[in-house]
Amino acid sequence: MVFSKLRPQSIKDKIRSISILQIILPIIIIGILSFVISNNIIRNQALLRTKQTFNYVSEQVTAYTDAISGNAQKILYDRDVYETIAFGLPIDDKTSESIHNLLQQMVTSDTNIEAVSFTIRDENFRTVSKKINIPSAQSVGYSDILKKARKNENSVYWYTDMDGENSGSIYVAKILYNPYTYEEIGNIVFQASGVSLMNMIIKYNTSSDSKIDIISNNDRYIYKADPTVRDDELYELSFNENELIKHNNSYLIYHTIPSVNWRILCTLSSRSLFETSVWLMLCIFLLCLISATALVLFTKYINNNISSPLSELAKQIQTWDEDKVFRSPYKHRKDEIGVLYNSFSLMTRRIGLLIKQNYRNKLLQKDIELKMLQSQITPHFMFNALSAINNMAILNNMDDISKMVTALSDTLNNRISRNGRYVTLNDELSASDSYIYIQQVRFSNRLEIEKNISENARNIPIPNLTIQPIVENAVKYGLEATDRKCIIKINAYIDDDDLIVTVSDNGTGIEKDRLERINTALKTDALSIDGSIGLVNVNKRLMLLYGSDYGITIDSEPNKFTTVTLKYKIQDVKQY
Amino acid sequence: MWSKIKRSTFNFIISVVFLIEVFLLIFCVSTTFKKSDMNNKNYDYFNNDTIRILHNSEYSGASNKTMYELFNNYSNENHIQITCDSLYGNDFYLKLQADFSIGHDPDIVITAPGYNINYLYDADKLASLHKDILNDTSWSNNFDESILYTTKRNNKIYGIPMGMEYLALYSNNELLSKCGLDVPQSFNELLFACDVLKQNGITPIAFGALDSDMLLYQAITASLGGYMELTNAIYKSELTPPYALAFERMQSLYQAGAYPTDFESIGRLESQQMFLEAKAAFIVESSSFANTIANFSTENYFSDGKFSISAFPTSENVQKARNEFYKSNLIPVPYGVDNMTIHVSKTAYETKHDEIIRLIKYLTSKDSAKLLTKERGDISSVKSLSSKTSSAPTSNIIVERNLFIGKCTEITPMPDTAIDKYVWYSCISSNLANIITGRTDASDVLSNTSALLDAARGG
Repeated sequence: MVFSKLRPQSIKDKIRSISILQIILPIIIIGILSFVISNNIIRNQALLRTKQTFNYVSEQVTAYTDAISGNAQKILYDRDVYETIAFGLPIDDKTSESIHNLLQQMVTSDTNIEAVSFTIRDENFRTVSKKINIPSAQSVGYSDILKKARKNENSVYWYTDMDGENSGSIYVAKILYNPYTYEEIGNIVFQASGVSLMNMIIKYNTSSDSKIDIISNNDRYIYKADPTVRDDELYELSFNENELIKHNNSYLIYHTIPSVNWRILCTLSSRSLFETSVWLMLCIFLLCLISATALVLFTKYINNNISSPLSELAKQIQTWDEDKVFRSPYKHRKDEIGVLYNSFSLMTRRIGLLIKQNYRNKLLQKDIELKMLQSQITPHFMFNALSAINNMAILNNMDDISKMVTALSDTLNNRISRNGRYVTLNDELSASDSYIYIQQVRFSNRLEIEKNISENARNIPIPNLTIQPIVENAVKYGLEATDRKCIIKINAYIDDDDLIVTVSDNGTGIEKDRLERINTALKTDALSIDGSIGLVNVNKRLMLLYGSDYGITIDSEPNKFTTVTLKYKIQDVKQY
Repeated sequence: MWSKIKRSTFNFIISVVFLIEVFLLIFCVSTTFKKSDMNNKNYDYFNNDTIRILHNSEYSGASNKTMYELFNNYSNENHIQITCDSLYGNDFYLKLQADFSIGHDPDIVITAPGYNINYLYDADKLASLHKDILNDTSWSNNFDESILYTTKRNNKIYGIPMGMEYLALYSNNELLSKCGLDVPQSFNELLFACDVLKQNGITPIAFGALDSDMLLYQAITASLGGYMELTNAIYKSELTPPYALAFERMQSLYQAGAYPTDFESIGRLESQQMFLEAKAAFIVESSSFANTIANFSTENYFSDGKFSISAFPTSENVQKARNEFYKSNLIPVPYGVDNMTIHVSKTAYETKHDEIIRLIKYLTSKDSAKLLTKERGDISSVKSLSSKTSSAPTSNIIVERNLFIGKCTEITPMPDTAIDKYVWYSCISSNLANIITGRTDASDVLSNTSALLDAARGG
């Protein structure tokens, strides 16, 4: 459909349209794809980086919580305690001492642990660090914590009353079960300081581009990167884990630490996240722009070199018919355009010449026709008159007059009545004979004719009135211009495919310079030579009929001779 | 050249090239988006698939190195972190029980099935692997069916065994023949042999009381009990008579001077070394000990007839009574899957099912089993490596072992699998030397054992 619409357009427009298609379209596609893909990659790289941070933080938190909760196992790994729990043995002094020692050891060896509460069969053992004052067991609601622990998988529950800064503690409650019956037999609750954990997390919050918060499973800030944020502000957010969402001027993503169900919340600033992206986008845009510019220049170059010359050519072809002028500004080019222009230039020149030649030929023909019309003004009157004279001469026995009139009548008849274009050589020579007879009578036998005609040439068709005008010229310059006896020689013979007829006289001859001028004029389009139309007319006719290699040539020496050679092409002429 | 290519051919080539380019673009774009998919494993930095394994290691730690090698390989190939606590004896069982009781469940427990494992399974702490193994025929076909079905409870397979073991009496024929003795066929003959050997300055039985597995005690118990009594070893929290009688047999042997003079201070490794160095004529060991013998020396023991492997001899009276009862001459041999049996905790089965099953398949693959069998000398549970179908053994002592296994007419459970292992170690094993020497009354120990077993049941 697009191509069918393009079809009637000019080449220039087609190239422009195709250029738009092949430049703009790919650039748009590349631009969009680059934008989407790079955006996606950058976004995911940022996510990945965040996730790595999550991973490290998660490991740190897990290590911290494992260290605290791992103390619960340590109590059970004590054989006395284990046997008390497993086999229902009474808690004797030795066991009590063991338990106290173990709890004390935990508080003193682990700086994070502030207090431990160990309950077995309703007997509670409690150890508190002397370093700090902490709330009593009841004030933090141990019973509530334990209730939640019972409901949890693995019977562990983490709780915190931290405010995201420096106050509060982290609690972990574990329910103990008999290793055989799996009936609840006691519990252990650790109260730990979150300071060391916060110090660890601070390391990941040194960058201004991203902030890490830790929110406990009971929706309390364990660590808050920005104290100005309201506690409830982030809790209102409901989105999937590991999903990047936009919030105000930041992006948020969180990950849950499975062992404790705490959430690590990462806040990424939009600026930092897409800073790289913006530069990349800019680079892609510039790249597209440069490509487009380069392609436009390239298209322009193609336009200037191909479509413009072709348009110019089309324009010149259109206007040439009117002004017949063809300019060729690209004739020096060696490519197809140059060839096209040069060929067209040559062709128009030849057409111009042919038109001009045709025009001249038409003029010549008209001129001849005019002359013929002039000579036919009163042919019937002339022939009737000559016929009456001839009859009177015969009645009065005046044979000479009769011959003379008959010759004159034949001469006129030859000139006027021959409608056909071709006659045999013999007929043409017969027509000349009447004229020569008249001239012989006129000049009292001072004119002598010598003929040497090949027999095989006699019936060759030649254009009529082509030899007689030459004979007339020979009489004019050989007989009329001198007092001596004039000898006119007519020779005819065949030379290969040509018929050569020569008419020579021994008259005044032609000067060398004039002879050269005449011969040169015969080769050109001159309409007359020194006022002589007959010679030129015969020459033109022969050239028109047979080509430029045929026609008349003249050879002469002053006061000696003049020979006019007529060259005919032997050809089969169907109609004379 | 171009002018010679037909236009249609050129168009075809261009079309093909265009199509290829389009496909490549689609592939690249889809790959880019696929790679950026958050669920892609390569980007999953939250893969918390740490698998925690609690492993009951060997007394000698023979399998530990190979096990850790396998864990490392798997961990590196699958980007899964594996942590393994390898403990031996009472420490293992204390941790096993304590961890489950405080909610610190390990993901995989590798130990012999028995009393404790049954308890955990019954308490819904361990998962059944029945569906997993039966639904994957290519996996289940890998196992010797008879071995696989030894870990069944309530008609469900709950553990994947990697190897089997028998308890046997290894005799040094060279030392026996030196004293004009043959391999004893009854307990009395054994007592007589001990006496003769002692007189010839040879330690009759390589035994150390520090061997918490008490293989000698277990072999004697099995020889006195047989399948029926050991399958129902506890009645009303009390151990059946063979357990008490076995103490008496141990005392008889002690009185006959069957043990090394320092038996109270030596353990299993020292006992083995004593036997291997021909300083003792007898030793009760598991079937894998044949491999230890084969690796100890390049000498062809079997062709020399230096060692023989047989069931521990029972007393003629007991054997006579058994023969009358069964109407057949059945000699009981303790048999069971070894410590390399894989169990999965219920929580891990629910939260890390695929990862866990993939790891177990890896551990029970032919290649892994080959490595472990070579290291431990066990009879592998993998069909192509088990004694029944394996290719030619590398040593004649292995041939002797395989012949012995083929001749077993009655196999019994390992006596220690009937009792809580914590109680076994803390009551029986730790008091064995005192009982043998008469410093402690065996009946008191058995009473304490019964009391603890009773207490464990909430009694």
